[in-house]
Amino acid sequence: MARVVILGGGVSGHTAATFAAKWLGNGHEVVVVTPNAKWNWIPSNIWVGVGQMKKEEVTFDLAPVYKKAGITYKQAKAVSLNPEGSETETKPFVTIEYTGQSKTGETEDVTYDYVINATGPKLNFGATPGLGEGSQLGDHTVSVCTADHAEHANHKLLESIEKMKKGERQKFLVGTGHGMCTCQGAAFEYIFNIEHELKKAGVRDMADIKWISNESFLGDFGMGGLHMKVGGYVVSSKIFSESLYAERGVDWMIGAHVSKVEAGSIDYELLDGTTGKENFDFAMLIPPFAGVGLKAYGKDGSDITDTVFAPNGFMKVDAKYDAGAYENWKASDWPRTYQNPTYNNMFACGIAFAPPHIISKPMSSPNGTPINPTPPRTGMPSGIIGKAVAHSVCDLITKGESAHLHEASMAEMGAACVASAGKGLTTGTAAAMTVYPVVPDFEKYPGTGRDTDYTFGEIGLAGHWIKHVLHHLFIYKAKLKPGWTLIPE
Amino acid sequence: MVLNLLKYPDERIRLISGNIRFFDDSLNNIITDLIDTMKANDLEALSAIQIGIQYAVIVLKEDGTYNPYINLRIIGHEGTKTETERTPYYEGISVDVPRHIKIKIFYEDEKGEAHYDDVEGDKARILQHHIDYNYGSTFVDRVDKETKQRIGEHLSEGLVESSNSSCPTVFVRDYIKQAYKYVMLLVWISFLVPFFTESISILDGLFLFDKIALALVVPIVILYAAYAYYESVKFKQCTSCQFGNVMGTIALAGVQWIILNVITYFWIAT
Repeated sequence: MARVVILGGGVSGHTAATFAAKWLGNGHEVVVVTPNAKWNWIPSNIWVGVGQMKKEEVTFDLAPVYKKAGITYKQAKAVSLNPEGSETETKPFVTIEYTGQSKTGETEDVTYDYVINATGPKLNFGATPGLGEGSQLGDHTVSVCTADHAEHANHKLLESIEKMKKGERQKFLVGTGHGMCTCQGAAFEYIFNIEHELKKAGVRDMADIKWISNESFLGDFGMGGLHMKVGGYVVSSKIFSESLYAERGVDWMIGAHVSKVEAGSIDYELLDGTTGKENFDFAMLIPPFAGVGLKAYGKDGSDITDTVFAPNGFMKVDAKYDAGAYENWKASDWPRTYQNPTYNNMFACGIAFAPPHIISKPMSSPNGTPINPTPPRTGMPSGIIGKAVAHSVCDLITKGESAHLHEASMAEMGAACVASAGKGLTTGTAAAMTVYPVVPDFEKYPGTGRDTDYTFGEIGLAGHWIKHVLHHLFIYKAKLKPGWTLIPE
Repeated sequence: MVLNLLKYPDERIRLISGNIRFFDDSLNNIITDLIDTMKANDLEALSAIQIGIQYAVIVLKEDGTYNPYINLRIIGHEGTKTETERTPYYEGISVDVPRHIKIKIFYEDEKGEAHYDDVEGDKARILQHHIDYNYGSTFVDRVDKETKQRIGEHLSEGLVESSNSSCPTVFVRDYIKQAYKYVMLLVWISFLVPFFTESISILDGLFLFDKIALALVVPIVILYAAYAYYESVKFKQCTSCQFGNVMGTIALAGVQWIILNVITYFWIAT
């Protein structure tokens, strides 16, 4: 009997775990190690952040789902990996520290035959001094990255609305909190949801709303821009965004790296090297991502973290990490099997794998500060990669070591994303976007590196409905209700 | 080499230009072609896509010299002013377009050196006009709906068609959908008949009719599904969730079909 240990229970880890359990059946053991008691449909956190949904609507308890699927669930965080075992243990193992199940603080060594690292990112608030989510990390800015953060953000938003009702002007600043952030789409959604809520509350005229991001043009969305269909016309995401911002009275600042956050103000550096200060009363700034900080040790206890993980803390996989400068980047640099090159029984999926390089054109200020969006690895690609990795591991177990590994390159994969402004079923605007491939393939598609037929967006009410449908569909799928395997990633 | 300027309704104007990655001879050739074409047509500025080259290169004539602006970005802006603009793409059309008065720009030169600059006045307007081409746009995307419509009326093929010829406004599959909907509507109407007559022969005839009609719905829905699949592949770029729509439509048709069968069996047959 083989044991597969999956670290993380997010989109990628949950997908990998549930498929592995289904494919392996009772003959083998699937273990999920995740510090969270609940599964969270992250895209809907935006709605929690403006009070349109309750935290309970976007999360559910993992324990009953894993029980039903026959998965061993350990509510714990992974601390370190021993891919060669130790002097006392011959099998490789992962050391975990419980965060629940009434064993909080206890540690345990869980041996494995295969391990899938799907820990997701560490929300690296520390990269920008003062940036936070309202707690010990920094209480000046809020975040919508987790359901708890979003709930807190809504609380702060309501406070600002109350102040405006009493006649106090409020300045809202929304965007990215560092030069190396991804997830501009989420911030884009949040700023327009705020705008929508302020209008509903009748205080829009008391608010100044400003966007700040590391994109080099408005409408980049970390994907280099795309075309949108708006009411029969086709327009580029740049011009669409510029007119949307102008129409809604939202000012913008791009090519910006937030270097410091203080109470009521941020310091920023622009791509041209100039610096400045921007004041705010309410700020939601997305933090950059980093690896969760797993350590790795050799058999003799020596630190081999550098062998297993890239310097940013993400796990090394079958990518080409020495591609060099922008002009040398190729689609083939991107990983296909997500297998660790040193240890064949280790895989990484979702945000946890180390990408070979970024996707957008690298930019930095004359002072050398990099200011560019980092590759999006969330949602659809995460799910697809998680499933492919689970498939590979299952085949390795059932068919033997020579089994063919399943491939899922982000350079051959499309992604869809929906950004809505407001939650109404009959009002508002939403952008539904698809890109193919996620990673530009300059050899196959000269110029932008993307297939223009598949890289397209559509603006309209339908996007709202899609977002609502996705919310229910994916929570249904994640709960493993009947027919869950039929719902695509 | 002097190249042809793209003219309406050439659709290549909608292509998004890629960033220049290699600062080599091929880039120098693009720049030379742009300069030659500008001289031949007496132009002040030109974007590469205007001569059909899908890269973010703009050449601007400043005090008699031709300066390339590669991978241009506008990273700051101040104020707006509306002025009349023209483009060789839409000949004979001039439009009032709002542009920022002052802009902060980032660009690279032909050697790949990065430059940052604050620009205002005419130069700012010309750069903003030309960067739109890099993103697959022209000034018509910057004007309000009414102006857009007026421009559309001036153009032989209109704006909508020229910008997106490949997406039909009506899909053939929707006609097939109409067909099975009408058949099912007839069955619904037939349910009213027992209110007016108790004649067994009429009701027997009606039952037979309903059975045939409902049997007919099945192949029509299958035809719908097949055609919808064909269309969603053919027009894959047109909407982002055709698959979902079609599945939903089929599911609704299925539910309605089952309800009709049940009612027919219990209401008409007995």
